[in-house]
Amino acid sequence: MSHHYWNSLWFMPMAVVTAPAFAADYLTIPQAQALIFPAGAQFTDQGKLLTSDAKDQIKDLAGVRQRHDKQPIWRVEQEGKFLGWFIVDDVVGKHEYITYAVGISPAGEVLSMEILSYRETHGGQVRDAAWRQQFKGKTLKDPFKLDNDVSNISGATLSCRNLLDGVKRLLAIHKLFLAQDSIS
Amino acid sequence: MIRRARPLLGTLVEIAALAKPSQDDAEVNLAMAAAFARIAAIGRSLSFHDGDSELSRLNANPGRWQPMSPDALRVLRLAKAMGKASDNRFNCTVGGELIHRRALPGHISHPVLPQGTWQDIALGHGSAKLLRPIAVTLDGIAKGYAVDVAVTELKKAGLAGGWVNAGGDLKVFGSASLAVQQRNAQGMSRALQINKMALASSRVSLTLDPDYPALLLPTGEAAMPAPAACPHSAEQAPERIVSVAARFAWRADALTKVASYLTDADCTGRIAALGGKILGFNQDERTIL
Repeated sequence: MSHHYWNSLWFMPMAVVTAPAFAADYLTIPQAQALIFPAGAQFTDQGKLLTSDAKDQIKDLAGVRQRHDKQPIWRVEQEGKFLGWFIVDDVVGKHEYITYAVGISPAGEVLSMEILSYRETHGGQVRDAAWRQQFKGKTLKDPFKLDNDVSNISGATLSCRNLLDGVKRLLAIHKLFLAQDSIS
Repeated sequence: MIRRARPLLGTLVEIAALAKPSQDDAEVNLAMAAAFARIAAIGRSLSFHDGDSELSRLNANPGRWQPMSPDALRVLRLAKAMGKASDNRFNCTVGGELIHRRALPGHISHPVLPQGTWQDIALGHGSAKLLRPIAVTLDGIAKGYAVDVAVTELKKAGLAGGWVNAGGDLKVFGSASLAVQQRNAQGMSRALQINKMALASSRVSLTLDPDYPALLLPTGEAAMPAPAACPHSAEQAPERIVSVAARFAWRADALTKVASYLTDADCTGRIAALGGKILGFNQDERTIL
């Protein structure tokens, strides 16, 4: 049996787009706080305003651009004991918008991460129409590519990468602007 | 219903849970945490990308028995059984070819055969051995297996129902019902309602996208439908989407790979013989599974 690799097929795991995934609210901020930190923990709002200088520093350290000027951050304590930080952030993919929360320990380790909400960036009908539109003018000589040509259906793979980049950026923010606050 | 999502298995994994009247939120969250933990553990153990995983250790030591965790052994056993039942159309030993094509990282130091067969994996009590220097990749089955295990964990906690959705490999159990939008490569879509069922989909394409982890269909001993004989790829589009329903997610996951290899004519029957159901595509048709 000869091996005709020229016609080998390639697989992409594909998410069937589940209707709830168009927009899903998983957790509120207090719910995420309660899941990541122990009961009785106190959350003090210490949101940071980031100058463009600060944003450049974050980009240099994390390799990922900081879009927002304001980063929602809470300092977490329990009966006077410093437990760490709770940060809410969002990442924007090509087709999705994900808000998530991360708990960071005083030593700068990720304690836990929770997705707060997931949004596809286009609404139902429009998205479907736009999605179909992409196939116009496509021929065999112009094979579809998941990322560039055709909006991918398995946005999940990209989301995952974006989330990991997001966490990298939050850890950079911690190192640059929060770690010194921890020394009390 | 409580729903949570985490980035695991290289995708976004969503778990939804319906509590029984006697259960409070804390109990449900505990069950979900246990389910997420099982998925994370399976991801770590069976990752090809992680050079320290159990799977990587197996691949790095052909010819030697390697101790394996119960989950890893179970997935290997299922992968072997599916390889046998499908005449190697499901083939988890194509890692060498994928490394060669740069679809998988090549951190194995010895020369690796492009591909093998299910017979190249020997399983013992608590251990496994590769009989030839092949590279096993479990991408085509492990995600589905992790979904099944997570569902078992939720059932064990006594939940009324729910689902686990790992980027399209999904299973719905108990009293829960999930609305899903199925799309084909031509952009058509239809609504499906899923109850007590696992579902998996794969996009099959003639090109490899470096941005996406992809699996090479085994060419091995299986007859490859020539492009001209394959109506999906030749006449309509160079890609198609295969969706398979089954009782368990690992089976649905693995059967999408088998189905991609079959022509339309024999697909439905052969997938049925292997315990799955091909979800055909008719616009405007609403299907209850």
